[in-house]
Amino acid sequence: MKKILEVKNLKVHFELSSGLFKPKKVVHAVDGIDFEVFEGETLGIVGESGCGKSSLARALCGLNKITSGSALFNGIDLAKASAKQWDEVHKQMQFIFQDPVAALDPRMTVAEIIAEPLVTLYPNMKQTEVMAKVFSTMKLVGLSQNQVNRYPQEFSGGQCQRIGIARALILEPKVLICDESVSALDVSIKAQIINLLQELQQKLKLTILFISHDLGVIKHICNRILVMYLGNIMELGAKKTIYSDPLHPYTKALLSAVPVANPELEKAKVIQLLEGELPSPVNPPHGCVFHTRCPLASEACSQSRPADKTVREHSVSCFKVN
Amino acid sequence: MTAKKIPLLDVRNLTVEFKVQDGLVRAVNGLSFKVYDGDIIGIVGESGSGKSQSMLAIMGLLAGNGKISGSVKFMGQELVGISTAKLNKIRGDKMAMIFQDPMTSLNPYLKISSQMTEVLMLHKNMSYKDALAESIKMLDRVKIPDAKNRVHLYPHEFSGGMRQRVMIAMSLLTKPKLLIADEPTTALDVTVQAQILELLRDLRKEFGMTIIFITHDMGVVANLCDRVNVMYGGWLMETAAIQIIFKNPIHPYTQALLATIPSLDHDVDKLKTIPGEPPNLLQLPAGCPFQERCSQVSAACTQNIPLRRVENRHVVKCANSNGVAL
Repeated sequence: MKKILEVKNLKVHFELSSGLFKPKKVVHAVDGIDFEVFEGETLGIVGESGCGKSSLARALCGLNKITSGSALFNGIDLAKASAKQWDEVHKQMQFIFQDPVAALDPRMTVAEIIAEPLVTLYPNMKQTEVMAKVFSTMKLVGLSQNQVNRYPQEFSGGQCQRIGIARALILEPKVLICDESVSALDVSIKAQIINLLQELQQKLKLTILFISHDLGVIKHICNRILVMYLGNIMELGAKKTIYSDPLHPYTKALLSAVPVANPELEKAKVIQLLEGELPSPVNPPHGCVFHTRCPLASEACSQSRPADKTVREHSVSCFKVN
Repeated sequence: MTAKKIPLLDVRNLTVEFKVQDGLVRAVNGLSFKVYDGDIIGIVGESGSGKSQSMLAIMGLLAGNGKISGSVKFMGQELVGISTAKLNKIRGDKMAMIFQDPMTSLNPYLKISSQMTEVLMLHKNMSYKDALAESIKMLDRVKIPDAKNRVHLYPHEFSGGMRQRVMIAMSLLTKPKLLIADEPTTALDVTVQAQILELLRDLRKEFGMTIIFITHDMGVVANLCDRVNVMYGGWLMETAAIQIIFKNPIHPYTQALLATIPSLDHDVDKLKTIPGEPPNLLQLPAGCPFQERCSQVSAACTQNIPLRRVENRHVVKCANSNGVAL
């Protein structure tokens, strides 16, 4: 399989505004992570709020600045890319947002919204050609052509998300980054959009980075899964083994906390409740970032950060896993 | 929990309507159900199904343009049409409600201590000192660490999960018989959600509380509830014990809803979907609101459809179901 994206020691930090004499505070949103994305796969990124999954996704799209490290995409290092290079990147990598209604400009018609990336990145394209592409993309995502002159507020949430997907696909990108793209939708609409994304992936040979806190959805559409906690990768592995044989104590706790729509399984389940709260990313704990809440933590865990090791085909970052 | 007992909450033919610019929105349509002492009832449905509005109506918290008809009996007392003063004696004391976003329910300008003691000083005529001691005890009970000092903090100094615990503690101060929880864990992470659900389960055991839990997550229902009401387009579509709903759902909407959920316990290649979109409440079709999306639709669906009892305490509102009309 061909690598399409290679991330090495990537950090995304945010400086908090501070007074003249106060020490500078830094939010360590993403704190040194390594992973690769292969062509045609769906990589799921899971974790709770504040784990850095969205900061990571936005950094890969140029919406956040990369603080240090590298992210190689098609020979371009995103950490050092020029504005011109970003234009090239955006032709091949597009973003779908969480709130479909907020992501669309209420003063633009559907045609203007969907055509915008094309008009911006290919300014010399003829108007008739642009409209032909708008129509074909609308058809692709299941919107009808006679809706082209309507405004976003005339559409339901599910349809707005289709518009958002059309806008991302009109450039014929290779990679889609979906940040909680189905989380705001109702159950019956969610299933429609998930199926649409899967169909499009097969048809267009897309690579998808799918970010979600919903482990059921992630399990359904991803090939590999990356588990994040407080800016670090805890575990990375194939979907099947992550769910059936989680190794990292955090992955185990996370999976056991998800309620399953089956009363018998729920009654029988032993939930590993995590004690306490997520530490602040301004002062992440020394050593393993999870050690303050980990049931297995020992002295060594607070001393140094565990290196990634490969156990039963997972990459896992934990001293306690052999 | 025999059927002869007087229900704690008896809702009959509850209808909630809103006058808006474009016409009349019927958010809840002829809702009837009973809640018995000690039960945890789940109410599930998508946006616009009427799950929240029906509960707000029961609490007398509808927006100004809302109109309510039907009957809501709580501990034998009719709540529809009684004065606000009388209602204020009941809500906050015998029944309490918690909401999805605790930050919008807490006053950001007041310390937790003054917000919590106010409840007890008002409903129980306690002195500030006693009320404060009681508040700290309750915060301890919902596992807020260092409650003695943290009671004097402001809401923004707590995390989301902790704020929801504060809300729960506040609603429990008067030991209400009925707690209505409107998506209290939807905005929380799964690990925090697991903590809160565990807490609610413990509190029910300890205080013998009855809980109505509004959610859109069937997993949470399976985890926490004894019974579930499935709502759609303002209608109660089906109600039964959870063992029955998950194994033998009768209403096509319940069946479809369960089939669309991507689950952790089994794999499918392609998710089942419900075609179309939730109905526009301004233009509901005659008869069943689900008919346009239903796979088993028939001519009878446009008629008036009665609630039918399939078996004991399993009630369905579908033209094509069997059972005894109620």
